[in-house]
Amino acid sequence: MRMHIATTFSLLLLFGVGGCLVSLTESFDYDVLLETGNEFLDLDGTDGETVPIDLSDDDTFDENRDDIKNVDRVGFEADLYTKDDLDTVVDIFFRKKGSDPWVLLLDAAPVSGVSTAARQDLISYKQSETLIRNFELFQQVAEGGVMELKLKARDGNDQVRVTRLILRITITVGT
Amino acid sequence: MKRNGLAVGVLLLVLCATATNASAERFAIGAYGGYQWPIVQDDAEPGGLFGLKAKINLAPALDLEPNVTWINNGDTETSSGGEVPAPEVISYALNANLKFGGMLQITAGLGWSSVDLPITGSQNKFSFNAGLALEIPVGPVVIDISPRFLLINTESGASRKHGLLMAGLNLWF
Repeated sequence: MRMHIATTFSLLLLFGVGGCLVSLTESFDYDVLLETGNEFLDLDGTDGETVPIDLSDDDTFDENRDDIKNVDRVGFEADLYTKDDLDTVVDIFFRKKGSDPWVLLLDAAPVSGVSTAARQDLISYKQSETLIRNFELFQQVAEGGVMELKLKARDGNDQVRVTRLILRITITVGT
Repeated sequence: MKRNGLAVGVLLLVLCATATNASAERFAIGAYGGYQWPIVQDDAEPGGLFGLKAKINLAPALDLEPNVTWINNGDTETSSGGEVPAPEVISYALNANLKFGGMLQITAGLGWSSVDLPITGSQNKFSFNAGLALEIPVGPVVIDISPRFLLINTESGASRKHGLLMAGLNLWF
């Protein structure tokens, strides 16, 4: 009987481990302003500001792009301030590069009216994760690596400057 | 998540009562703590663990062990030092422990784990664990030391993996 049980244990080990042992979870920070050659983004108009994203610019994504099993998490870090001293919020939308409709990704990150160039507001990664919407759609687009982001200030003033924008993505890769 | 933990606690008590009625000195309850290491997970650092288990002696060489383990992953940081909250994990498993003479056992189990991320919320995933167990009798209790490997199946054949080192006390009835 002991031999039978040992065999069962071995089979459990093989079936349980074999299929998915060789996968790992990796995170990378994509510096949107650096990668797109912008010193800052001014969200001055009602249309917001659009930036192209190619995640293959990041070594971690590029090295693993054929083995991505899943996009696990996404979040942002940003430094920004209002130029007209009014409280507002910033939304970030995404779409595949092209004419697909924009989809909301970051919903209403707050920017205080007292923020200035010398004293900017920070959107932390932790805070941003709670504001993420439509994550399943984003997972599909992000696996392709190429997309566009649109940043837009709302609540009527549309006078926000973004001086740092980091897109942090966590992926699971495996063979 | 707390409701799941409560349900498992009730299940352990029911198993305790059932086993106690069925046969004397063939059932144990135990609690354990320890440390765990996420394996190749960029968004989780090592941290503590805590758990509860029951043991049912089915045969001289075989115990059945339902258990629940709360895994406390440590937070990580972005490249600029911002906090990245680690996933919260609770693992539920039913293990079989095979005794190899003396105090040494090998153990393997199946179950599910709830992996809680801020974006996706808590999601239940199939999980598997295997390892060793050492039961050292000390008076009325048994010291139970068990290193284990936990594999949580996530998406598309991918997984999150943890190395667990558990130590606790079991009380046999």
